[in-house]
Amino acid sequence: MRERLLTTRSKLIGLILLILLFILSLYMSIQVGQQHVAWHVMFDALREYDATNADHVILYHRVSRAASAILIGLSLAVSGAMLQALTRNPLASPGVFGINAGALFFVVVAISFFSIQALTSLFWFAFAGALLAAVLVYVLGTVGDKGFSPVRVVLAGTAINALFVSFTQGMLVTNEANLDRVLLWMAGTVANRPIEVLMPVIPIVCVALILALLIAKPMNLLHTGDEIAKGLGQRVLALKMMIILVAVMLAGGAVAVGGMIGFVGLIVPHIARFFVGHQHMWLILYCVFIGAILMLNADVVGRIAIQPREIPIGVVTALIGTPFFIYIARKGFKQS
Amino acid sequence: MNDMLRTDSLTLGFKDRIVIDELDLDIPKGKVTILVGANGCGKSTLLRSIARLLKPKSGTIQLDGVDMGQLSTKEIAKRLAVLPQSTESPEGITVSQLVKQGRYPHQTLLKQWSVEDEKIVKEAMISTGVFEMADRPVTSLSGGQRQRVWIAMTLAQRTETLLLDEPTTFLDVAHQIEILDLCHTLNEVEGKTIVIVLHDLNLAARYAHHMVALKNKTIYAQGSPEEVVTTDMMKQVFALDCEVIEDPITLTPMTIPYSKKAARRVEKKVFAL
Repeated sequence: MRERLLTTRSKLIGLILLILLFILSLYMSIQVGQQHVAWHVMFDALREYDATNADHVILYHRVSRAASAILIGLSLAVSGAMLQALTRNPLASPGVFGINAGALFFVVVAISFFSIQALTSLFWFAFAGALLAAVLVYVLGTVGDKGFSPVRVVLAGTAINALFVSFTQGMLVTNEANLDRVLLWMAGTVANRPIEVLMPVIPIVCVALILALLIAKPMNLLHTGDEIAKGLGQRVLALKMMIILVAVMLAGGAVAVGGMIGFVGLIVPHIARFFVGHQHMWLILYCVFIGAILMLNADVVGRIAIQPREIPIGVVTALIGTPFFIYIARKGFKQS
Repeated sequence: MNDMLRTDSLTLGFKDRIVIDELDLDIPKGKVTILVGANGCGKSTLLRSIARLLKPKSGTIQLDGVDMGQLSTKEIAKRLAVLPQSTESPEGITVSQLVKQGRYPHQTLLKQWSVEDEKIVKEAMISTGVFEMADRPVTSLSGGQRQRVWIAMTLAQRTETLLLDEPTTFLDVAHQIEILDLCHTLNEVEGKTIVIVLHDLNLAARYAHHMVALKNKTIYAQGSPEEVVTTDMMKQVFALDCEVIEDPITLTPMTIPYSKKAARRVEKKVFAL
């Protein structure tokens, strides 16, 4: 399938439209909710924040969760795009790679055994867990006589994913005291994350994004095969290490902030590729905005669907993602 | 200096298995060199190691007198292009996008896509006859067309040397001739040094200036096709009894193997009136 936006010009226009849609989604995310807040209050709150004003507090919470949603959405989307490029497998994603589960397990360990609460510290645990899972899956999917195979990577990912999920569940069963605190992580949420605690994760995600854009061009070569890339003078192993590192930084950051949010990392790269194809510079930029837009809107839907209660955002993304996953899987099988 | 590529006691293998042992090979500059040998004799392995896709166990490979281990992989990519045997055709990219990748070794973070790059890509597509399909997805092309697109990509690298690993596998006879004719033209017109691994001995003898027959982890015979393709070589390298005759078109040696299936003479009945 060819990309829909063929020329650089049309890709650029598409990007501008996405940015506009992103701003609209951001506005919606701050406006929509049980409590209506007049739009002029928004500007008041921006100018001078008043912690005793109920409207301002509501806005503060909404801005915080919008920031979480954006951060998680773009991180998971770009991470997924990179893992799909790495494995040349359309079904690869941080979730399928077991990265989310690995990160979550380490976070649960941190909370249960080390009583760590600070998001910054939890981030490092999430990162370590994400890295461990990614390396395990990559090694299991690659090492052996037959070498690298996309199917084996997915199988390894499924196994590692199941392993870490059951570890996590085992720990929760034996240590019920932490169940409440951890349960929302497992469902995936962007609620109750004050914007201050996101601050440490933001620079890490920014660095990862810049690195991703820097290796966008070599990643195009990888799409045509390892040997071709080597023949064209690319150091393939170094590139792959870099891709894993960046994907893990992003997915680890996302899990540290929002817990297990599935399917974003899987479906957003496909939507982006539908528009811009396999040129990774464009693909990454599109993933950033589509990922953020998807998460902002999923959060709004979760907020208003069953008022006065909320659906966790991870459940919303799963509702959107599952049919999409089945669609891609079927399409993939038809091709092979 | 006439040898742009040379191996010096090169040993290749996988784990404990040695495939090529202490090989000294000179590949003449500006010529078409074709490597032949039985299945599993290590001819593809040798080509891959010359293209630095496979690390030697010991020994060195020299490019223009410099040990390739001393050169950066990008530096090598400016002088030597390789088309590996199994190329998957990448989903969702067009002919021109694929050919453009050949310019990759010439680009840096600061020096991005230029008018000259555009020109070189266009020339590469024209000389391989794929310019008309520039905007078509690679996956929509036939096997022969795809192979020409891959060759166009290696041409866009603008290297003096081109290494091709069984470029005619899976192609019908017309496309085999088409690809080898293209190699011949590239050598004649642009003076490229071309190294090919080929199964078809008769085609190898037609197109090679220099032939190398491999056996027992080393060179069994090398030289002009007339020197290499003999009944004796066929017996030793391929364990096959053959007649060697002259190709009626190119006057190069042509092998006709013996087989269990012997001649069948059909008595022609003539119904004469």
